[in-house]
Amino acid sequence: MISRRNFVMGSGIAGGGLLAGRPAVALQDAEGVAEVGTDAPAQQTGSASVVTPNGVSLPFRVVEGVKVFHLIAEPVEHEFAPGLKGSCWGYNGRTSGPTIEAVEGDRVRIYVTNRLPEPTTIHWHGIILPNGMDGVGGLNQPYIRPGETFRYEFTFLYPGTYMYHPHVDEMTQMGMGLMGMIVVHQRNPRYQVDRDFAIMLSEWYVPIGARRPDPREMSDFNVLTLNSKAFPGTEPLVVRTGQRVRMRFGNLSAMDNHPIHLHGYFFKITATDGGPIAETAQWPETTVLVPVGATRDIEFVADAPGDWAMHCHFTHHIMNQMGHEGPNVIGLDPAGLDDRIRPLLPGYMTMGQSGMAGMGHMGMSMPDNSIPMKGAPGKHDYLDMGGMFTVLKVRDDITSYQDPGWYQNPPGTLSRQASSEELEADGISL
Amino acid sequence: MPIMKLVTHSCMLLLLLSLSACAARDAGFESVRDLIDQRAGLDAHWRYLDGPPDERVAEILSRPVGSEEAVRIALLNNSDLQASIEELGIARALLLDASLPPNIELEAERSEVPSERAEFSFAATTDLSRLLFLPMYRGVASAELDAVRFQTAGMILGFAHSVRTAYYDYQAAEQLLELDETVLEAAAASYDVAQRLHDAGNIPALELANERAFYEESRGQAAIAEAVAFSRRERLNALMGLSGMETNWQLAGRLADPQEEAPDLVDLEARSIDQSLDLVELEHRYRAAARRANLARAEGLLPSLRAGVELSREEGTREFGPVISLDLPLFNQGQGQVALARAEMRQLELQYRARAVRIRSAVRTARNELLVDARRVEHYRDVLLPLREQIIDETQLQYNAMELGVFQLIAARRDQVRTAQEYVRALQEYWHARATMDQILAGRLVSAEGDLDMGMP
Repeated sequence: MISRRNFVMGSGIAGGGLLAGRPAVALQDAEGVAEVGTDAPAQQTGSASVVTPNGVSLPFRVVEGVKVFHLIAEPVEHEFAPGLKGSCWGYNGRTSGPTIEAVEGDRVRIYVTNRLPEPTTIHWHGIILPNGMDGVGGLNQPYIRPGETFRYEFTFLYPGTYMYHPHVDEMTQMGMGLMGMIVVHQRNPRYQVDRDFAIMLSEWYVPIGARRPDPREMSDFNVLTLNSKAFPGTEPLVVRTGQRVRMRFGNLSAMDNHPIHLHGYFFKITATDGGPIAETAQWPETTVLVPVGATRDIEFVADAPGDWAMHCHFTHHIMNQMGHEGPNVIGLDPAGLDDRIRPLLPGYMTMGQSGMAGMGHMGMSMPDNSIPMKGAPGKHDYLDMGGMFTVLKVRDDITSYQDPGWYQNPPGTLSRQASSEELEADGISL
Repeated sequence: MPIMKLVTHSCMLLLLLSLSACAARDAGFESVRDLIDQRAGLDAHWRYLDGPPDERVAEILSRPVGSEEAVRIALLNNSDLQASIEELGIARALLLDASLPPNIELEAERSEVPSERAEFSFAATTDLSRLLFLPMYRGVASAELDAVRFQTAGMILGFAHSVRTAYYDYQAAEQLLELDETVLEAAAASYDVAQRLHDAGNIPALELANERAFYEESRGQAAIAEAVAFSRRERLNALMGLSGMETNWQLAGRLADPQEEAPDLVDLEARSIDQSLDLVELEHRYRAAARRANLARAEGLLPSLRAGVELSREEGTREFGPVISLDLPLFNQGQGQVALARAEMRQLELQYRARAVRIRSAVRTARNELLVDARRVEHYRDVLLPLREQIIDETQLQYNAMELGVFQLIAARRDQVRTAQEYVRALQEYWHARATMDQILAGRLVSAEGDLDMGMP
C-alpha cells in the first residue's frame, strides 16, 4: 500500500478516503526502517490529520524509533493567486513549507539542507528543546552554509501548535517565504476534533508588475497570505455540518498582527504556542488576534451550514496589490475629462471617482504578473476582496472535502432588494 | 616710318580688344551658371543679365515651399546676393578699363614776337609704355576677373547653404513649437485634474499650485517657442527677399529622415580639394599677383615712355619729326611695386596652403558630424522614442492598476514629448551637417571669407 519511495501521501485532503478510513501505519522493512505516511500521527492518537490548506504535511520515516524528516531550503517559483507568480524561497519546493506533524513524546531527527545562495538555520519556534538545537545562527550553532546539510535531533515534549523558520538574515529569508507550521498532537487527547486546519499568516511586498518579493519593505505590504496564498488563490475550508473544528493559526508576518475574523460562529481560543488555555479561562470570540511570532488555536462546532467568510479584519489586508502613489480621486467630477485627456493618451479612462468597488473586474489591461485589486466572481456578485480571505464551507451530508460549490440559501433566507410595497408597508419613505 | 607703324599696330590692338570675349557684357557669368548647375543643380541668376524675377517667385510661392524652393527663390530674389554678384560687373569694368589703349595727347603752341612771323608747334603724343604694356594690364585684370568668377560661384553656393540651413532651422522651430503646444495641452489637462481634485477636497492648495505653476511655465515656454519660430520664418523671408503678401507662404512638410550613409573617407579629402572653388579663386588671385609683379618689373625698366610727332615752325623753317620723352629709371626701377606684388604672391600662396588644410579638416569634421548626427537621429528614432512609447504604455498599465495616478500618466506623455523634441533637434543638426558636407563637396568651404553676412536676430 505504501511504497518505499512514496513519501508523499495522504497529506491534507485526500478526498473521500479520509472519511472512509485511514491508510495503514508503520510497515517495517527488512532493515528495520519504517516508512510512514503523514497520517500516521493522527492515526496514533485517533485524531484527524492536520489539513494545511494549499499545503502539505512533511513525510517522514521511522528509523529505530526516531522520526526522521528532511527539509530543503531552496528557491521556489510560487503562485500567490492566479495571475501572480513570485520568485520566492521555500522548503521542499513550496512556501509555506510543509507542516511537520508529530506526536507528543516523539523523538525526531530533522535534516536541513541549504540550497539557498546564503547561509541559513532553522529555529523551532516554541519547541522546548536543548539549547544547541534552538537554531539561532551564531548563538546556538554555526550557519548552515549553501550546500551543507545539518542535523537537528530532539524530543517533542509538549503537544501544541508551533512554527519553524530561519534564524539567519530573518528579514530577508522570511520576507522571501521561508516558514512552516509544526503540529504536535496530544498523545491521549481528552476529545477529538474532526477537522484540524493549520494556517500560516504572512505578508509580502511584490511591486506591481514585478515577480520577486522585496523583503526590505517595512510597511507597504501588498500581498497578504494564508499559507502563502492570497484570495482568490486560497482553498476553501470544507467542513460537514456538526463537525468539531480546530483552526491553528501561526503568524510570521514581518510587521503585522492579524485579527482573524470568522463569520457565522463564535469560537473559543483554546491554546497558544505556550500551551493549552484552561477551559475556565477561555472566553468566546468571533475574532482572534494572532500576534507576530505566535500561534493561536481556536475551536468550534460547525453547526451552521453556509458559506462563511473568514478573513483578517484589517481592511488593507483583504486587498491585492493596492497602490498608493496616485492621488485619491473619490469625488472627482469626471465631466469631459476623458475627452480632454484621450487625445494625449488614448488609453486613458477616469476611474475611481465613485469609489473602488469593481476595480478588479473592469477588464482593463494590467501590468504583467500582477493582481491589483483583484477578487473573484462570487455567487451573487463580484467578490471584491483579496489577500487574507477565504471561505469556510459548511455543508450537510457531504462525503468529500472537495469544494462543494456555492451554498444554496434556503428560501426566505437571502437578502434581496426591497419592493416598494414592502417599504410602504413598513413605513419607510425614500 | 616707325611712328606710322606704331599707330597701325595700336589700331589693330584696339580692334582685337574690342572683340575680346573676356570683357563681354556677361563677364563670364555663363561659366558661373554652369558651375552652379553642375555642382549644386541650382539656377544662378544675375538680375543685370537675366532681368527681374517677376512672376517666377510668385509661382513658386503658390505651392508649399520646401528647402530647395526656398533656395531657388532666394537666388532669384535676394538683393544682397545680387549686390554681391555685381562684383563681377566691377571686375569686368576693370578689365574693360585695362584693355583700352591710352589716348593721343595733342599739344599746340603759338608764340608771336612783333616784327617776326609767328612761331607755332603742334605735337601729337601718346603714352607708349601704357600701350606697350597694355596686354600685361589686361592680363592682370583678366586674372582678377577669373578670381571674381570663382569667388562669385562660391559665394552663391555659400548663400544657398545659408538659405538651406535657415530653412531647416525654421522647420525645426515649427516642429518644436508643435511639441511645446502638446506639452502645454498636457499641462493644462494636469492642472484641470488638479483643480477638480482640489474642488473635491482631495488635494491641498499646495499641490494645486504646483500643477498650476507647471501649466503656467509651459505657457511661457510655448510662447518662447512661438517667438523663435516667428523670427526664424522672418529670417527666411529676408533671405528670400519677400515682403507684404508674399510672406504668407506655406511650409512643406517636416524635417526628413536621414539620407544615405556619409560618403567614404578614402577619397573624401581629395575630392574636396579637387572641387574647391576657393582654391581656384586663390590660384587666379595668385596669377593676377604674378602678372602684377611682371608688369611692375617691366614698368620699372621702361617707365613713362611717351612718343609722337611734332610739327613746328621756328624762325621761318618748318620742321616735322618724331618726339619722344622718357623717364630715366636711374633711381626708381619699380622695386617697391615689384616687392609689393611678390609679397602678395607669397601671401596668397600661404593662404592657399592654409585654405587647403582647412578644407581637409573641415571635410573630415563634416563627415564625423554627419555620422554622429545620423547615429543620434537613429538612436532617438529606433530606441529612445519607442522606449518612451513603452513607458507610456507601462505607465498606463500601472495607472489601470491604480498604482500610479493621472499626474504620473500625463508626466509620462510629457517626457515622451521632450524626447521627441530632442529627436527634432538631432534631426536639425543632422541636416545642418548634411548641408555642410554637400557644400564642401560642391566646392565651398562653409564660413569662407566673403560669405554674405545675413545676420538676423
